[in-house]
Amino acid sequence: MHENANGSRRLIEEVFGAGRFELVDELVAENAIGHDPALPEPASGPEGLKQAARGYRDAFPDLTMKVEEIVAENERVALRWTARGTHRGELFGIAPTGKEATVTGITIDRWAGGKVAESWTNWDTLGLLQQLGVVPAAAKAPA
Amino acid sequence: MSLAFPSPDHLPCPDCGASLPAAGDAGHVCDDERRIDYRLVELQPGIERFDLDLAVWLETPGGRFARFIAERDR
Repeated sequence: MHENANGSRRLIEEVFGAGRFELVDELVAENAIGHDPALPEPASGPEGLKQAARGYRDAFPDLTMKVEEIVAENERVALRWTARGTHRGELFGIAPTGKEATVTGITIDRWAGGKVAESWTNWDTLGLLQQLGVVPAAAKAPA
Repeated sequence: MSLAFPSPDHLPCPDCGASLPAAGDAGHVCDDERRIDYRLVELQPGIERFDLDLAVWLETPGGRFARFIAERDR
C-alpha cells in the first residue's frame, strides 16, 4: 500500500479508533491543520489532533473506526470510513445516553515531508444526533 | 428529483441501545449486559436525584431520628 495511504489509515483506525495517541507525533506535522465541522475551531498540530481524538474517545470510549476505501494520488489521500461506539461521555453538551451509534465520514489528507500537513473531514453529524435521539429521525428502529 | 430530510442508516435498539441497521435487523438479540448498562444510563438522573433527596431528608428531624435508630440498632 502507498506509504501515505497507510499513514492516513493508521491515523483513523489506530489513533481515533483505538486511542494510540503516541502515533500522532510520528504521523502529523508540527504546523498541521485539521478541519472538522464538528470542532469549534480547526485542530492545530499534533496536540490539537490528540485533543480532538481524546474528545471523541471520552464521549465514545469503545469507539472503533474502519476505513472502507482509500484513494491516493500524489500528496493527497482520501478515505471513506465508518465509526461505531457507545455514547458514555458528554458530547456537544449532550449527557451520556448509553446508545450505540454508527456514522460514516470522508477524510482527505494532504501529506508533506512524510507527515500529514492538512486534513479535511466531513462526517454524518446529523445522523449521530438522530441516533442519540436529540434530533428527530424519520425511520424507526426495528422492534 | 425531490429531496427528503435525511435519515440515518443505523438507529439504536430501543431495548439495549445497540446500533442496528435502520432497514431492519431481524437477527438481533439483545445482549443482557448491554441491556442492563443501557437501562442504568437511562435511570442515572433518577438515581442522582434520589441521592440528593435522601441527603436532604437525612438532615430533617425525621431523617435524623432514622439515623439515630439505625446507629442504635447496628
